[in-house]
Amino acid sequence: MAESVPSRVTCEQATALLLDYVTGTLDPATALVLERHLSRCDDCVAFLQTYKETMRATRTLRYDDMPEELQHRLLHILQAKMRGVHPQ
Amino acid sequence: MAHEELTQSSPHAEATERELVRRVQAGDATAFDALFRQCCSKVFHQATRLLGNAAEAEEVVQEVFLAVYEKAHTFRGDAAFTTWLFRLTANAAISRLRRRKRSKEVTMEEYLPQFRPDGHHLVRPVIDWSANLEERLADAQLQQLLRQAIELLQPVDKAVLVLSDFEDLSNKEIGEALGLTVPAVKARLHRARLFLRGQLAVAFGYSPT
Repeated sequence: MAESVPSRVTCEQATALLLDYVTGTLDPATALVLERHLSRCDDCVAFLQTYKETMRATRTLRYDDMPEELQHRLLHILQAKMRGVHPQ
Repeated sequence: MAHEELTQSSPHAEATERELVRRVQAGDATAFDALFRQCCSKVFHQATRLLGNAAEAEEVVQEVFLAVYEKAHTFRGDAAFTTWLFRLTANAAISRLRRRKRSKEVTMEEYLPQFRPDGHHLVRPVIDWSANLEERLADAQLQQLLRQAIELLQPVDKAVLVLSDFEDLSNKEIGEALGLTVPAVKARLHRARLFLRGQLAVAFGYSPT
């Protein structure tokens, strides 16, 4: 499908390609066009860096663990409910 | 606070879960208990990320495992058990999110990149603030800011982001869990990430565009 890949992209088009680019799933021909754009566009390089770092920050977010006591309590509640509910 | 990264079950755990579901289908109550112990943390974490609070997540855990018990016979094993569980959890959480009264309306577009008619970024130069973010990753205030930004996402966008960035599901698996096509998953995921990026840019004092 290389014939359908444009030879150059605008910043707007480059931004739309970032999702696949950062995960390495962009087809090689399009990735090459994007990289050519990035080699000339500091704005898009800055955008790409902040996009990637945002992803990394999101992935490092931590939430509370499920306490053991809560697991036991919920299992007891479910067992009581299941006595009144039969599988369909 | 911290806990292990949550990902899809390993092949061994997946085989164990399938066997437990088969026994639940056959009416084995002890298998249900074992299945609950093995998977309840996954459901709790996913629900907490979607709903933003542990109290509602606790209710979703009950709802999901009651559904597992009632609907075990409908699980045919076409998809991984974990994907089925993620689907039940996402649906339960999304229903709750949709019932919530939105206390603060945020226009998503304000935080998305904007472009000039010729395709260039609207506000130039675009500032690279990624080093500021890297320095502050462990900062509680920044973590809170990101959590709040995730809270502002539309329910389905939030579910896509959670399943992708926290649960490490593929776009195809997310589509199966949420009833979306892969292009739709990718469009929502990209928009959610752009929105979070915009929120962080504003927090650092820069234009989101």
